[in-house]
Amino acid sequence: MFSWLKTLSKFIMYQKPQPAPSVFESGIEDRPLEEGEKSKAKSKAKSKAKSKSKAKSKSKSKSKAGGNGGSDTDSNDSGQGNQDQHQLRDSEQNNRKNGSRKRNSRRGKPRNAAIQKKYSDKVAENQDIDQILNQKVELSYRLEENKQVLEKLFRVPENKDAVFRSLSIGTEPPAQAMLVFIDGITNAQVQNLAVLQPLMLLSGARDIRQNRKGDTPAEAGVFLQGQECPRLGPGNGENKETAVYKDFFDRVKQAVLPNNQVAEGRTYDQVVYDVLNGNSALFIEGYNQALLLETKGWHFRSVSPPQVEAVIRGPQEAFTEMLRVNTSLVRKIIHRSSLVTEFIKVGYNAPMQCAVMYVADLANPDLVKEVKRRLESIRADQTYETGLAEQMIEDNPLHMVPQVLTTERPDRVAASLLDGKVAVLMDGNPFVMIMPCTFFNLMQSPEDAYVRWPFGAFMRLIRYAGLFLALLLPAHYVAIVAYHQEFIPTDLLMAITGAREKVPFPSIVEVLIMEAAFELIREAGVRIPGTIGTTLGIVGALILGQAAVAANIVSPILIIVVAVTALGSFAIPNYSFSLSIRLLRFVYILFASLSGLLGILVGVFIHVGVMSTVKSFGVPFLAPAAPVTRKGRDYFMRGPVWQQETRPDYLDPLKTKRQPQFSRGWLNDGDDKGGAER
Amino acid sequence: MSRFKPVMGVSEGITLLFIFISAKVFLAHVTFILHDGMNASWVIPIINTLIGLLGVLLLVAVLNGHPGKDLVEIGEELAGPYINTLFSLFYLAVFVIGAGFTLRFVSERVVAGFLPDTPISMVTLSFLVGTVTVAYLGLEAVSRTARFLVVVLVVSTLALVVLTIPFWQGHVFYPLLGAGVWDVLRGALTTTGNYVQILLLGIIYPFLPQGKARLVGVWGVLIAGFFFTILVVVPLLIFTFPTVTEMSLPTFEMSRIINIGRFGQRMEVVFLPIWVFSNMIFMAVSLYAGAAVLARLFKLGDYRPFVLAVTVFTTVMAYMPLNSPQASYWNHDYLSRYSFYVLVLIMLILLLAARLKGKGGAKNEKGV
Repeated sequence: MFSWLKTLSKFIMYQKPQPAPSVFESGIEDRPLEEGEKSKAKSKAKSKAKSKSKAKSKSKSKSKAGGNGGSDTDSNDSGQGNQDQHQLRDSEQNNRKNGSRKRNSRRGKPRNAAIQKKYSDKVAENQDIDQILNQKVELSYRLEENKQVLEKLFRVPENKDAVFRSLSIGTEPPAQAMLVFIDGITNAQVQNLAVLQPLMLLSGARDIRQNRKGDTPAEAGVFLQGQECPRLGPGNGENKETAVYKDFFDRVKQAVLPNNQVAEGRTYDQVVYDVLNGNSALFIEGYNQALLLETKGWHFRSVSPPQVEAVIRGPQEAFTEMLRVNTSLVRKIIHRSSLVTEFIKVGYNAPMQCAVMYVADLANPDLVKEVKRRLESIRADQTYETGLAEQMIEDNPLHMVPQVLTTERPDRVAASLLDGKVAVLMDGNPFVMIMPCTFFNLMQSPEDAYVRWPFGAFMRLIRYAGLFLALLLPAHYVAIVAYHQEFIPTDLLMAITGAREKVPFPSIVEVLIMEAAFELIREAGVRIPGTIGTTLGIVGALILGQAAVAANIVSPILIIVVAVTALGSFAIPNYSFSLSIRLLRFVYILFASLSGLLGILVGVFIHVGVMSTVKSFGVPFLAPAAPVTRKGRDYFMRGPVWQQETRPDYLDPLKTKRQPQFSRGWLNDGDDKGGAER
Repeated sequence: MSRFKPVMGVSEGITLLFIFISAKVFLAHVTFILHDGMNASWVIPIINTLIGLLGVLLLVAVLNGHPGKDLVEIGEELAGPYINTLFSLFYLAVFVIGAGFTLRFVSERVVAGFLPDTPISMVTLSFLVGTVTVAYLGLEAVSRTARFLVVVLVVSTLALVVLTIPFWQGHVFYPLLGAGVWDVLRGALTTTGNYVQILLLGIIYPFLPQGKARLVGVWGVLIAGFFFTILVVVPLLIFTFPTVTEMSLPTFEMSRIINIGRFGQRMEVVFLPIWVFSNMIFMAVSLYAGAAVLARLFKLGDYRPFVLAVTVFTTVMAYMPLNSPQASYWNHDYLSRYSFYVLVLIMLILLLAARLKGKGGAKNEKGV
């Protein structure tokens, strides 16, 4: 009669936990112990008899209560549908009981041994595949075998991106072939018109097989399916007829395929890398090589104005996500045969293509070598962004300042290359790294050079003032309000004191509140969708500031201080450097609150001392000021362009002279010819 | 690693040397010169500079005979380990006493002038944190920091001098030779210790470009002499004798009288970097050099374990005087009077030993 009441009370009092069924469960803290750790734990347990007996009694009581486990027999969870899944999960939980909150961090032992054991077949398969790639296994003569291996490498049929297009080359008799590519990153039109059509329809017209006397199909190395390849027969490992077979392969390459770039691949590693980069691989039956055809065709953003380094006067082009477009943007500016672009694979698990650009007759070879050495040595899992690569190659990763200059402007890269620096472009990335980088580089903008020199120098001066304000103004406010009230004129002191009279907080708290609020607004402004970004700015900057003053949480003077500080930080042209200044500002505020102006000066002393030890690819960060090297007219202030006769000598370029002493030839009689006519 | 084999340019060497010699000019040392020289005090720094130049040339003569070695290693080679230990203790004393008394004096002055409610231990700690950090980073960090900040120091000092021009009084030069030639000369000869800091050249010598030690030494002393002379003359011109002798920190008083219109009053805070940066560079150099001397003495390749030890010595030395005036007097008595003659004596002994042993003495600047 009251069964419903019983049910209701049971429902209210206790509900058996019914977690959503999931095959996959993970918890880092609950990783099971390794064998070594288990035995270690056992020996520890033996030495503590009392604690052992307590632990036993606890585990028994748990098993009796039918909890989540404690022994192997407790793995059933009655009433649940998917028996297998729960058995799997319970056995996982049993394992976890043993190693709860103990991590296996011993060197040389994998942390996820239990997972590896569970999926041993998958792990073994992955290891096989890695072996094929790492050991650079050569391609097979048999088309079918190549297909099987590549299907394994690309995880076909699960992976639907990889396409294996079988075709017959239109010869008599037809030769079997296969085109491998990744759908979506190739240009289908190029494939149809420049690969498939010539092979299938036009190859017969060229009669590519009959040019050489005695080229029968068998001799030419074309074997129909099921026929035995003579080179692969037992005891016949060597290819005695390479010349003949090579001839057909070369003819396909040279006479049939009208692609602008064709390369030959001999290993699976080469083929996989090219295919993953948008190329197509053509395999022909009987040949242990593949033709790697240029068919890249993914969608990319067109060249657009710079988003971060905007200028009023100067080129309005920025890099895109296409590596080749980016290199062309640089080459468009530097018409010099010595401009070299080298390609390097960077990264370990998902290597990215990087272009290292330098002017061979200017850049110091040791610098180029060092940049390439560092890039090639990267063994990171992810290096698809310049920011990730930057962190892997910088000299002092623990220092706050950026040691690589990042820019999105081709003109800036070109100017740096002509100074003797090295640029690293990364595929899929609109930012380019320039190295080495000094403090003064971080404070320069391309526009300094494009306007007349007094204005360029003035803008740079303003920028240094901005740096000073962004770094030290809030700290000075704290120091003066808290320690050095007598150092400001009486009228101003009265104004500040009157404004702060109703503020209940000490100056340090007041400043930290406003600075933190401003950083919050700035961070939110970056993350927020563009349409409401302006609204947030108005809400944050105006209403919040106004309300804070009205509520007597902060003084109106502080609002001015924070606003000027923000303007100063926006004047810093390099984003990474601006970030470091934003962070260091809080350190200076702390110093100021501890010792006033003395604290700030001590902070500056330490800051300069630490910066003076930083190096960027062997170049001191404060060069050419400290250490002193020969200074041009473009390091602190911007000098006239006709007086900038030498390249920065801290780069040790191969050519120091940038232009002759009298670079304006028209000023001298009879010397009025430009570079092209000389 | 450059931490163990630093690289130092001529410009950094000169900067380091002249700041190390002349940092004391911003403290009370000027007062002692003004006491000795009276109206002719400006002559004393000039004579001192000339004596300092002779000392540098003597030091360079010792150093050039042993390229790639510093003064401690040269002493070990020429005078043997036992006598050299005494020499090294003298070098160490110069660095530690100088840094200790400077730390005490500048801390007291900062408390008195800028942070009246802050305990002196806090101020001392602030100075020590900065100087120990930079000294620990090594000679490159110390020299480059000095080179980077020297612009601030020089510009501020020259501004301090220029802005006081309206207060200068020309008649203070008379009588032209003060109490007399002999008194001025005596004053100069008893304050030669102001240049004992040329000793630093002997410590940084292996890291300077080859053949540039003389250039560094001579220019370091000349620039230091320029600032010494300027900052003895200008307080004299402003405050006149004998008022100027009653000031414990003449440069601070100079900054206080500057008045640029209604808002340009109380300008001393603008010149605070002069006192803080010059003395922090002085102390960082002292800590590094003291640690380097100990490292050579104990034949260790790395100076860093000794930085903290020298810091402890320095702090103990700083708190030995009862107050700031006593620190100034002790510094004057133990360092500024006769220490230079001890250094010269050591140099002469080393030169003599080199001549007797047939080592080094006749070599030229490039050690050939």
